[in-house]
Amino acid sequence: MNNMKLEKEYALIGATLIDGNGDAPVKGTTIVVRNGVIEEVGDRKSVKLEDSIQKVDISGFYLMPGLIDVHVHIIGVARGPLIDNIIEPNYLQAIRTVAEAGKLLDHGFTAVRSGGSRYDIYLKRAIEEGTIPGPRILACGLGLCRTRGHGDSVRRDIYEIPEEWADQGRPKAQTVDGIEEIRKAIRKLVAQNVDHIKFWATGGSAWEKERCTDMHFSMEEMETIMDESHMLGLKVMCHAENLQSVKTIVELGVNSIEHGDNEDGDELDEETCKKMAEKNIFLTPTLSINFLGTNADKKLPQYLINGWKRAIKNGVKILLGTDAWADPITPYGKYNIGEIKLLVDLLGMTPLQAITSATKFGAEACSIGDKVGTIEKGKLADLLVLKKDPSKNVDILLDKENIKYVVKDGNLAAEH
Amino acid sequence: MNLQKEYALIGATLIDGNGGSPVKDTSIVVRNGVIEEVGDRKSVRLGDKIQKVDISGFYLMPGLVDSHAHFAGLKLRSANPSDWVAESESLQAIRTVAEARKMLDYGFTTVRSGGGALKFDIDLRKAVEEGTIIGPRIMACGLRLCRSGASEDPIGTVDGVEEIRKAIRKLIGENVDHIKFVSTGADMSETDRFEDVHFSMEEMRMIMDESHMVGLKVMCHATNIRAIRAVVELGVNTIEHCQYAEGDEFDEELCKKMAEKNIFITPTIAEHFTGPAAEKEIPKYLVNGWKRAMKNGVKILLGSDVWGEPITPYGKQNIAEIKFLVDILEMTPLEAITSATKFGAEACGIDSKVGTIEKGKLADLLVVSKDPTSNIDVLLNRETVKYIIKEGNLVVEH
Repeated sequence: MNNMKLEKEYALIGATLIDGNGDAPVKGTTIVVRNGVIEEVGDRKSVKLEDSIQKVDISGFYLMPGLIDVHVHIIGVARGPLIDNIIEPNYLQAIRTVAEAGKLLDHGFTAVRSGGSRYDIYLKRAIEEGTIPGPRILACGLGLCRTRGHGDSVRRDIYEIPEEWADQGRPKAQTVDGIEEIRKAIRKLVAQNVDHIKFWATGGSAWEKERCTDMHFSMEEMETIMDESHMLGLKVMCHAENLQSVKTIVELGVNSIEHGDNEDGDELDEETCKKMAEKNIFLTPTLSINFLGTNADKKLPQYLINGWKRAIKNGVKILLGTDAWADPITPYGKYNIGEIKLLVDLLGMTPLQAITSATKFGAEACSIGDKVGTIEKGKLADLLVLKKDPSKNVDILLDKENIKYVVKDGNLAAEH
Repeated sequence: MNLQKEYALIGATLIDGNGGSPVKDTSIVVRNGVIEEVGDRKSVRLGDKIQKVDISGFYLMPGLVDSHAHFAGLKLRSANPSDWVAESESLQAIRTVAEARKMLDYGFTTVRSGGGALKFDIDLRKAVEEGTIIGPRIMACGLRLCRSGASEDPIGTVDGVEEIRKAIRKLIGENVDHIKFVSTGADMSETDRFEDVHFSMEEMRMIMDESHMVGLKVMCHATNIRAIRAVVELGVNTIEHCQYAEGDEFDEELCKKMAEKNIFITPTIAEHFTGPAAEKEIPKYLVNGWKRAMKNGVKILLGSDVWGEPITPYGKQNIAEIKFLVDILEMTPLEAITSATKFGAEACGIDSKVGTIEKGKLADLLVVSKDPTSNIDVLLNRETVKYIIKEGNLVVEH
């Protein structure tokens, strides 16, 4: 329930500003928002306000950019197993995505990048036309995996499902094999107005022959993915779970590497890290997926952490991405915000660095860095007003009650 | 406000849905979603532990039931079907969530679906029941049965008794709450006329038999007198729109038969004022007929026929219908409330559970800040509806 009303033009006065650029918080600021756009940011004493503008005193609060999760599956599934996802009604899943979007927004995510969804383009449209509330959605439609790849990993020695069921029911992925199918699939996605292209370069260890350690596409196939996407200015987001795949797609000029984990003895090396930094390739370690269910108290192997830290040290930008994909397993909102704590606890980021990962870098990876991601003049007002200081202790973000207001495009989207 | 599992609402003027005069200073006790006691605030005893919510000065009435709504998920640029037949079904499914939410926001705690070419109501019902989204209790019928060439051909059409039998059995397999069929045209095109009957007698008999065989009620779109007479004869449960041409005899005898067979009428009055064929006023002969039905004891339902934003604004159009029941059919506000609550629940076959505020029923309640029995218009402004409670849970607060 929203008690506060924001007008078309307003000033938020007195907060401590964390602008997303990573600098020390600034006390006693004022920002002016007009028709959804940040028109001024400055010291509360220097920003002049006309009489007619709405003045909202938020002294004592902290103001930061809205959060961005760069890896979510908004697919409305009720259970984990892909076979269940395939046979469940599509409309029911579409309907449930509305609740997932609502929860993400409620926890402070004002933008999310899809990692593959049958419904993301439609959800995006419903949000943009104002029918339902939700974060800014960066959509990719159904991601590309090879036949029986990670998005198609139902064991056919157990289940016998007609191919057309799978084609109509896979919630995250479509299957493509060979450069011509890939070309056609991407061109069709482009016509669905997707914001980026997602593909699975490796398996995901859903079962014994669908392994993280295997490459799932040939060099020419991956080249086609990059070429067809980049030809139209679309970025490529790639699931890669072994070092060989990481090295290959870095070479091919992918835009963001998802998971980026690898085997013991195959640590992400200095040379690859340098190359990633040089090419401005982002890394989304999706730390949260390692701690699901019975793995809650698991300790991550040191070689993984070493590799990711090496990437940070060499200037690779790390993103907040969670791989949320099924509400009962990854409760939307709550699960997503948990990632920011892991960036601090496991990768040794400062809270301010983690916030920059979760805002500015996220926006850059989504190619919307000119519009959102930081609190700066000319950007859209995607803002969080916080009751406590996240730069001291990032944990305060985990409790949504600490988020007084969520503002998206200048409009009040949630209030706690 | 937060409501606990057990609470008492104290001090309101009670309009219980049965049509009796409002009773001042009442208390009701709700435990785990069920109304456990209703009575005078002085006589109802409350334990120390129970949450006590003082609503003195407010009016307490049952949640509203819309007996005819479509969860269609449309966002129309025009009333031209080409606007929606090619649109993404997922997008439409997503939009139905907003439709459900808006109806709830205006006090509708139950909505009976009139079906469609797509079965969003079944999936939406599931999402509401599992607690994923907030919405009214949905009575679903999935596909509405119509013949080839009818309004939304080619989706969901049936021709012949055997296709009908199979279609109904499939719908039962989807756990529908009732069966909806379209016995006449819908005036969506030149070949889809109100004045034509769209099914043969055997086909309609099959619809009734297959539905009633498993205890499902039949809801029937009927827009001419021949269809109305036929479905009354065959024992339909509710007649939707119930239109006919001037000069056709919607006579006393027919009305008596309907009352005797407990057949409800949903005149969907609001629909006359919206959409492609909006009228300035409702023809007198129709109003007279519906009034004749009422006089003979036929129960009239509140049904809005909402079918697509922005032509039929969800929530607003649903509640507008209650005013039409008063203004056009000259019901008293209390009678209109009974139509919109008790009768609606009866027509859905859930009157043992909801529709009135009585001991043993589920707590679907509206707490209203002004007296709807003096002026029904107060319900048109949702801000007047302070709390909307569904199965004992606070779902909307204004």
